[in-house]
Amino acid sequence: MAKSYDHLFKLLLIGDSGVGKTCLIVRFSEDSFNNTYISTIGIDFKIRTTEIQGKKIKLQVWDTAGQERFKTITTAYYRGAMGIILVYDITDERSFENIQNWMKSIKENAAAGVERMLLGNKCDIEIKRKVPKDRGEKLAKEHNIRFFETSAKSSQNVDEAFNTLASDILMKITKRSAPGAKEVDLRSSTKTKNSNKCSLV
Amino acid sequence: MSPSCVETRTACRMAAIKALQQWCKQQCDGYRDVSITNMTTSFRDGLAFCAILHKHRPDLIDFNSLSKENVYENNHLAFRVAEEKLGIPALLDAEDMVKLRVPDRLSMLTYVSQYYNYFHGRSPIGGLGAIKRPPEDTIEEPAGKKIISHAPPSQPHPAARTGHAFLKDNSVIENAPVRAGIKEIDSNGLVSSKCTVCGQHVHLVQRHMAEGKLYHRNCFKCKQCTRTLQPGNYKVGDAPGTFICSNHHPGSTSPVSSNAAPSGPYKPVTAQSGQHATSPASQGQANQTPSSKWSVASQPVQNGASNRTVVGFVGNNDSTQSVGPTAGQPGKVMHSDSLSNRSSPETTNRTAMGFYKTHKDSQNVGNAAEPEDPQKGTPASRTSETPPRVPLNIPAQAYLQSLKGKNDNTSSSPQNSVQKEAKKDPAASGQYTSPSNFTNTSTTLSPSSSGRWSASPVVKNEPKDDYSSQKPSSSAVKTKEARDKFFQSSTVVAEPTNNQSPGGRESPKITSSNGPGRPAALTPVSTKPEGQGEKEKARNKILMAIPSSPKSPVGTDEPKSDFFPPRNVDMSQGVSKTPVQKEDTERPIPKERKSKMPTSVPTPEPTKNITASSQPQSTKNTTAPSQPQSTKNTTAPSQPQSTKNTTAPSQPQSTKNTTVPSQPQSTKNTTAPSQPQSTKNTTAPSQPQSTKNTTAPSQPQSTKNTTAPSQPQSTNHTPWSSHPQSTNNKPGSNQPQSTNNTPWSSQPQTTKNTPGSNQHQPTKNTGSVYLELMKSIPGSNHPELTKTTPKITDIKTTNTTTPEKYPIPSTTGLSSTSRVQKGDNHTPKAQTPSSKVSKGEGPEEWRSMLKSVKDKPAAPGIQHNTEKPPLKEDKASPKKPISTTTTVINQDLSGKDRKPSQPVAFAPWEASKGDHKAPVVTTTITPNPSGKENKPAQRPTSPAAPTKEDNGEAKASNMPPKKKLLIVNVDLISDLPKPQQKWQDEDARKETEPIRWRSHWGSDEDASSPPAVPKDDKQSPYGDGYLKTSSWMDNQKGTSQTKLNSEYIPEEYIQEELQIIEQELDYLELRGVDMEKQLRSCDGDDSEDSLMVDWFKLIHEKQLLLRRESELNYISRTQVLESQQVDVDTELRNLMKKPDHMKNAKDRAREQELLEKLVLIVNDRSEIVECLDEDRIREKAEDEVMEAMMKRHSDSHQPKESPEPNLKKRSRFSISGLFKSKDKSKT
Repeated sequence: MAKSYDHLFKLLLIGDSGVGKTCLIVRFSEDSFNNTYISTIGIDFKIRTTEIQGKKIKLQVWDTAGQERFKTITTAYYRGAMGIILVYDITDERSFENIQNWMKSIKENAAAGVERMLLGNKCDIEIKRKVPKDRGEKLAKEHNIRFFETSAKSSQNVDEAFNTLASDILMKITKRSAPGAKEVDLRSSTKTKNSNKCSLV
Repeated sequence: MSPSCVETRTACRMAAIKALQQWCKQQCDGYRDVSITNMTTSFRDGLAFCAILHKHRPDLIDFNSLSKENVYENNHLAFRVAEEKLGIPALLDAEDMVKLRVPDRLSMLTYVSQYYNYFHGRSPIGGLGAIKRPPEDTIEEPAGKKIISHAPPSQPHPAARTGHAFLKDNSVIENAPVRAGIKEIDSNGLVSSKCTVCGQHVHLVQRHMAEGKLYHRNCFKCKQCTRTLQPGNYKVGDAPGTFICSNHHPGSTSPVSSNAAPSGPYKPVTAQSGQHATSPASQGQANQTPSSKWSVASQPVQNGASNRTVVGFVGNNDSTQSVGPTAGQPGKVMHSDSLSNRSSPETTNRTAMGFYKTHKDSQNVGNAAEPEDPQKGTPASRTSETPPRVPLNIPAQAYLQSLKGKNDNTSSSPQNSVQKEAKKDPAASGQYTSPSNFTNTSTTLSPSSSGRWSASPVVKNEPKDDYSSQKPSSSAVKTKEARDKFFQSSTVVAEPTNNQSPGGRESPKITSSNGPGRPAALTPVSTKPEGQGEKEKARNKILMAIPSSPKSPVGTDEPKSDFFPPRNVDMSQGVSKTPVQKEDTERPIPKERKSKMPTSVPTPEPTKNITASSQPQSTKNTTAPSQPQSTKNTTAPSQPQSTKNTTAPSQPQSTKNTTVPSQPQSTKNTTAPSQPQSTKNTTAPSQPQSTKNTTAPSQPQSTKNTTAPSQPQSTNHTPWSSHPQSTNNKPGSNQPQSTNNTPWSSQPQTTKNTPGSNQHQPTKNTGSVYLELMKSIPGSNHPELTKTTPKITDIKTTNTTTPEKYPIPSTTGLSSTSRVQKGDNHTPKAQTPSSKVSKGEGPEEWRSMLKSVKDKPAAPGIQHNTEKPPLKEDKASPKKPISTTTTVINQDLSGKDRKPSQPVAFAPWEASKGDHKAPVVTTTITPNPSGKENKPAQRPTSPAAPTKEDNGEAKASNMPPKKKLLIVNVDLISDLPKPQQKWQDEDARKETEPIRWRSHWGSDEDASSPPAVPKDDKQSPYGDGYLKTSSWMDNQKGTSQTKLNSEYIPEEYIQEELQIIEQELDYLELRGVDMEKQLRSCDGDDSEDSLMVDWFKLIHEKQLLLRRESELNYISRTQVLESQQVDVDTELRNLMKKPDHMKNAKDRAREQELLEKLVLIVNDRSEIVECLDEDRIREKAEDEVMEAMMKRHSDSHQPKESPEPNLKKRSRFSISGLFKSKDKSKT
């Protein structure tokens, strides 16, 4: 039932308004997609339980409003997140440029060791692409985080992205709990993983 | 115990205990002034507790600042910190530690074991404890959390299951008061072992500390809705020492409050006689649930009956029989209540809440009714309650039982006397009824109906009935009646609105006396003095009725229907009551009479019946049905229907009151009914009735329902038939029940005892209700009606507005049914049936009724009607279900019999499924001269009865009788659908059930199983009911609640399961009480250790139940929040669409407000997620510990030689392991 899972992870999506955060979450949690744009008001979250490495992981995915006016509300939720996903729109260069600002926001508001991930959404609209994939990869590498190009519409890489992040968090947790001293290792390993993943992607 | 012995023993053999002590010793090692050498005095100074806490959470306590001399301070600090910070319920009281040189060992062991469990990752006994992990553990807690917590303080902290969480918030402040309370308690005797509410000893298992005061878990109820308060779901009430559902307020506060009042009545009911007296006070306090735990307890009975469950039911029955239902029973009942309450509040999602609340209200109403006449009133209330919840049925049964008792009495010899009385009263009651009819109808009916109700319950409970019958002698019956009236009136009054008119019911005799109680009960404002209360009530009712009536017609309540229905019903009733109110006294009386009627009812019955029936209906109707009814009864709505009805109604009224409903139908029915009645009375009443019923029902339904219902009416017909009975019987309805109960004869009694009884008997199966109604209506009713008519006329004036009233009067059932029917004819029928049932006998009659309906076609007419109606309703309109529910309820009651409670509760269900129903017992009591209450009880059958009655009444007396709708069941049903069923079963089995439970428990020790188990056990019996309920719930939710997520769990399901859990908890507590005795009696002998293991096992079982309970509550709450979020989001978006320049300050403010609200909702949702997670983690640890414990236990048993070693090893193991892990995690 409500408690039949092994871990509860809290993920948070941030990014400019209209990049598709909500769509990604809806695709992930309900496997559906709506073409009409409905801006998120303030904050919301959805739940999905997934299985990773034999563990049932309950993911609470927080959806934030990208609009500046809600920023004071949304930043309050950074802190509780165990994983933060930065999303930009590959058809909107500005949203990609703003990732730096979002990174900054994470630094200011989120917990120090929070797991991060970069997603370039709307990769199904290749025709309108403004942000080459390698730019995204490069940015991710600079921050030592994973990167995926996704499409909530086509469902491409959506589950992969979420599951990868959850998996990283899980690994981090297990390492931490197992040998207390391995925390440091974790990060390093994560980083390495990240880089690996990036290459994979 | 024997501390010294204990100490030595501890040192010696108790493996488990020793292990625990050993653990404590380890924890305290190195702390100054702390030396653990035993499990009693070593802890007395509190330093040991502080040391354990400090060892694990140095941040919580500054151990160095403590002094060994400050016993109170040390203990208080430890208990408070443990409770607030760790969620460990404070089983111990610092006061005790000071006063007792040697603390109670068992208490200490239990409490210390919570520390052990907690720090081992196992949750404390209370299960509550939300273990708040150190911040270090996770980064998770988002700032949002904090916000959340602040925002919804009232909301349950997941952790707070016990409510401790809640306390946490209030923590210190609350504690202070607590102390005071405790001290007071202490003065009473054993240190703070008395329940703040009921004053009874609180066993360890039952302990519930809140605000520093000790309560029985079951006594810890919402002042307003009488539901057991769940851990994080309550908040301090307005009145000192009172608590209310946190959800309540926002949602359906007013209703709730009204409900609360009802609870008061309930309480009285439970207490019955004693309660009666108390009831007023309790009612007054009722609102203050906490304060009036007793009342609660009593309520429990009622509520319990309605809600909870068998146990409660049983308890109720018992209580009714014996007065104070034993604490245990009350407790049980309380549980049910609490469950329902809980469910409503918690879960409930607000919508659900709304439902529940409504249910509660209805219940309250019902309760109110019950209160008036403990027996009768209860029945009525129960019936009303029942509709909502299955448990209600039980209550109804209880009521019925009580009623039966009365009825029986009446029936036996009393009947005549009763009848006479009824007649006397009837006149008054009739008048009263009219006032009360609306709400009170049920009440009115209650008298007769109550009798019948009880009877109906009885039917189910037949055995009980016998008891009741036995117990109450005619005189007893009278007294009961008086009481019932009292309660009813009070209840009614309490009910919010109209019901007060119930007071009117009381009015006859009781009213005045009851008045006070009523006011309190009815009006949240308990302030109203009875006398004033009545007037006010009457006014209120009228007002209410008027508004409501319009609304009701609309069927506004439908969504909530279950709950609301009651309200609506009330409203409708109120409307009808309005008239009634004027007549209030009368109506109330009717109900009372009905209930009482059974005893005295014969004559009065009609009136009473009417009232009663109407009431039930009202309750049920409240939702949709009620509205219809109300409309019919009171106002215009009815007019349309009324038009039909009216025309007829008036006539019918003449017969009975007419019930309007019937009127249209009644016209047809009327004639028929009256005939039937006559026939019935004479001979083959049943046939006639059936015929009449059939026709009538449809008509009535049509009238009532006006619309489609008419067909349902057919179904209703049955009910109607019942109605007629009810009207006639109130008696009639009772009669039906009685018929079913035959024994119960009360119905017959009420109306015409013999005929009625005979009829009832005949009808029972088939159309006992019908017969009853018929009987009641025709003979007595008419006369009464006619008599009442005058009064009725008055009522009419008021009622006039509502033709329905007339119908109602004719048979409350009719009116009620009509009301109910509004939604669906069924409802009315259902109500009537229910009323009938209730009146008739409680369960038995109901059952018979139901069966008859379903099974038997002819008599069954009613049954058929019921069945059909539900189906029709269901088929016809899902939403209607609500209305249907009422109808259904009625049907159920009449048809199913599943026991009154079910019917009631089921009403909704039935609507969907058709079986259950009738929770609503609409008893319209026609003030008719005959004063007969047309048998509110009949109303249960109301639909049919009413029609018939109405017809009969109409014919007999054109005057419109006052209708009292007994919605009893609706509330109950809605609230305790499943439970009700169970209850019913349980009721039937009552005592047996406990055993079953036990067995189940034994087998199912696992937490998960408990709910399931109950279901399984009882399910089979209830199976249909459950399904129905569920389906019903679905419908409702689907309709009412916008969101239908695939994962969405119908609130009803949740409530059902919660009820089941409540029952299980009750059972566990019973067992725990026994075990505690055993433990205390075996001083340290070899059996102690194994007993201790069993003890902890039991505690664990309780934990598991609490877990599931909290989970369900979370789910429910989540669903409510989600729906709320959608609403807020929608509104906010609409606002935001507006261009900025177009917005004014108001818009901006609203926008900001909505945004904040939205965030709060999201935060609440998130908090639930977190709470669930915390629970999961803790539970996981608990399970591990439990598993280890079990292993140890088995080991110790097998190899006796080295039990200790094993234990020690293991305990150490687990302990060390846990600690290690904990420490690690911390680090």
